[in-house]
Amino acid sequence: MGEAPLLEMRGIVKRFGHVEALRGVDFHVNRAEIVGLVGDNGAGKSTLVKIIVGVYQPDEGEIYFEGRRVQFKSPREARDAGIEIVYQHLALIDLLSISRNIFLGREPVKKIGPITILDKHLMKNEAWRILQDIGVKRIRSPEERVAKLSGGERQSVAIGRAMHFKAKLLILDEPTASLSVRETRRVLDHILEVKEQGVSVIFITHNIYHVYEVADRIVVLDHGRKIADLIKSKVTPEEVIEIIRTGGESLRAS
Amino acid sequence: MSEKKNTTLIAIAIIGIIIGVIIGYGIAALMKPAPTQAPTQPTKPEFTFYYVSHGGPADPWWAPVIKGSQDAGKLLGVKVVYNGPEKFSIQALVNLVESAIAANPDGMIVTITDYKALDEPLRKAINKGIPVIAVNVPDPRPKGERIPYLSYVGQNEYDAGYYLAKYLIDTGYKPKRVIIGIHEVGHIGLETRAKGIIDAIKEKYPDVPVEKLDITTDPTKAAEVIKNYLTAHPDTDVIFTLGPLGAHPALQVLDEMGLSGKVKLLTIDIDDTILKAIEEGKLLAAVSQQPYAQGFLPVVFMYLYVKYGIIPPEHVPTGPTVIDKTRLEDVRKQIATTGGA
Amino acid sequence: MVDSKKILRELAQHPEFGVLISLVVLATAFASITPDKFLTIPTLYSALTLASELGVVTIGIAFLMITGEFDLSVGSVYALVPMMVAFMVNSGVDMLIASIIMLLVAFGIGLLNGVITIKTGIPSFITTLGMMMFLRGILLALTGGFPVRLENPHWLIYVLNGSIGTEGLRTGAIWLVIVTAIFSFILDWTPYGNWTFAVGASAETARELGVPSAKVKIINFGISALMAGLAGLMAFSRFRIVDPTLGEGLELEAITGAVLGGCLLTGGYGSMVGSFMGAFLIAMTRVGLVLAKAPAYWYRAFIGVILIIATIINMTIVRKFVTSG
Repeated sequence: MGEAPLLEMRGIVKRFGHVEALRGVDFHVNRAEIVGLVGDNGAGKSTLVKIIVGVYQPDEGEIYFEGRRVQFKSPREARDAGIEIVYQHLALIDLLSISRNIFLGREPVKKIGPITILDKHLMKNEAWRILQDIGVKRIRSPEERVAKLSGGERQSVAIGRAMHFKAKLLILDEPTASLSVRETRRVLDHILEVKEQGVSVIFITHNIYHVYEVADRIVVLDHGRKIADLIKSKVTPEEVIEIIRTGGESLRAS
Repeated sequence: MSEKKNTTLIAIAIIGIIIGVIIGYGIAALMKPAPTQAPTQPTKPEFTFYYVSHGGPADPWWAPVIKGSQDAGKLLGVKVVYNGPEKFSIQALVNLVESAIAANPDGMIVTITDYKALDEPLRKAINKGIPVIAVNVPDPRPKGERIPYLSYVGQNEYDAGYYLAKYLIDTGYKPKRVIIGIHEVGHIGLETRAKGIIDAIKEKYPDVPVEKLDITTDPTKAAEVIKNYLTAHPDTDVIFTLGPLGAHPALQVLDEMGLSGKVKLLTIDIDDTILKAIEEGKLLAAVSQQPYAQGFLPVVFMYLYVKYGIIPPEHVPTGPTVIDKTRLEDVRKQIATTGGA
Repeated sequence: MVDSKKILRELAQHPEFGVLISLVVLATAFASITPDKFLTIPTLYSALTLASELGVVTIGIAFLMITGEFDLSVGSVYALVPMMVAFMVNSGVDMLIASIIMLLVAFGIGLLNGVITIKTGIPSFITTLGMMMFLRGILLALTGGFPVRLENPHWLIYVLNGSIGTEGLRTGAIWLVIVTAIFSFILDWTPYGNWTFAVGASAETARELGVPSAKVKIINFGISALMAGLAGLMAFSRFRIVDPTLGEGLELEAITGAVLGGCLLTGGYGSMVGSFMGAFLIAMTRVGLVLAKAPAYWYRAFIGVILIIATIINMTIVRKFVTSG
């Protein structure tokens, strides 16, 4: 356990005009670890995560990934480094087929003479493999449109896509929101499998019970500050909810 | 991302320059033939007349009219402001007339395209002391009822169609089936021309079928529609078109089908292609309303009235003249000098 | 054992399905009214000729619509390109060179449409509407309202739209097929095609995944204008005269052809082959109505009804089989 963290952020400050969204946050994620990132609305969770993936740049503070200092200027740079994010609503495009979705932006190609065309054979096989891996049995072919997948299946496909592209750090923004009980179960199982393959996960959610099932650590943000960084086994979900509700008062009291 | 933005912008700039150069070249190329702009007046114009018609810059027929009015103005030292709507619209015409009245000119020359709509504004103008001369389309009501303009210069659309068809009938030919290609269905001027044609034919041969065909302003559509009609009705032997927009595709189709000369083609309004076709026997005759005269003459009459009090005759006809092989020389001259006929 | 429901569902996944049905139904109707005249080669060629110019414009506009944008300026580009080519040729420039220059300019105009739309956030509907009027105005100003004629023929006009044989087939139809094939290939078989679909369906998601959404849109605006210019040259090649009113109303017809062919107005869905068939449907309708001796003033009414019905068919198919699970 003396190993360096996969991701380390020190003293992150981010301002939007006069508003200080993050006021000096220290945050880290170890290898093969699932961290639940929780907090009330406006706490700064999505800002923090957007800084990680390069949508925003911090005003102050440093970020280290795999031990090296980094500054991602765009999501593409973060993705190239192995950081993938799955947003709640922008995961997949309904009208396109599953395989086109998986490979969008990173299409495998082959050359016929001077012309570069899609390697559809590869796309189909890989997409099929991913579907098998994540256990989507209902779909008969990766050429079917994403519109045919349920909400949970879509999350799984999005996660499967990130895994296929060798993500080292996977960020999930509200992956279980608006999912049925059964589908939530499936997504949580998938997240655990992901960890088994050595990938770290940051899990943002409002549902403490969901994140409690899979997380190793729980980090609570409040008004731009980190107010708690707890190992899961040392705390109950109810206690976490109290911390969020009281803005950290309950911690000081105990 | 910022470097990508720069490359795109530079590419756009280069393309913009290319567009500019091409357009500039185009303008330069155009400067060689005579421009249609109003030539500059050397001294302050004596009078200002407003020429308001339903024919705007988009209609090629009116180009010689505009030129005629400007040339007359230059010759006489008066300023002639020409106004016509982009697309045919009575509303737009009335608005332009109202604007002209507000400018309080020394005289107004107006097409009475819709006498009901123009009655009130023009009477207002006349009561204000602005003399009005009607051009191209008259007020059809009897004197006393109609708008009290000084004179009507022109030959109307109905007559154009009527005399064209009459020409064919007077040659002794009895048609088996006639079609009239209308390139803008609902356009009052064209519909009136068509009516003239229909009336002339039905007068002599009430049993001969005469059909109006919607050929649209698109030449490809016009060609295919005519072609398919001829296929469906192989007994068609006479085609009337109501303008170059109809005549050109009709000529093309008859050529392609090998029917030039066999199917008689007659049209209204003239241009080089049509004259050449008359010469080659592919087109029987065309009516010219001598549009330049409709631009030039009313300005002259208005000038004579405003300056010297000379009252113009009630009706000054400018056509229609039927052009066939025998009249090609005169018309060629007219086109060469006025840009149209 | 054949599962017909399954087969139907499979077929419905293709955007061309609806227009194919409409074509077959309409062709059958026309054929039964005028059997001897409708099902002939000359009729087919006539419809193809009519479809060629409209079709080329439709392909370009459909490619852009799949990207989620509109181009209402195609009619003006359709007239501007041959007009300027005529000027240049009449002034001594070789027609091939003039055509290449003007096609590049057309592409540039499209790029300009795209840049303005993307940078300012004005809906493409409005930007291209403005461009349509701007270009038409330039056209009228430069010509003074007079049409422009090509004085001397040039070999290029036979390549663009010359006659093949005596039955009415023209090389324009070949151009339409070539253009359809090229863009169909790009759309289905290249990464750029995947991006085009994605950007149209959800530009944000695509951008998230690293697709240069803005660039894709801008380039596709260029393609739309380029095709309009090419079509204009094709029309010009047959008649050798350009009237300043040429192309008016073309934009709506082209969009109609694209929608008939399966393109969704909201983007992300459509097909080049479908658009080809959509343009052909419109052409076939006009030809069929003339042959069926329908009263001429009823053409537009008929075409309007057919379009509405065909579009309803398309949208129903999409709703039932494509976007639902």
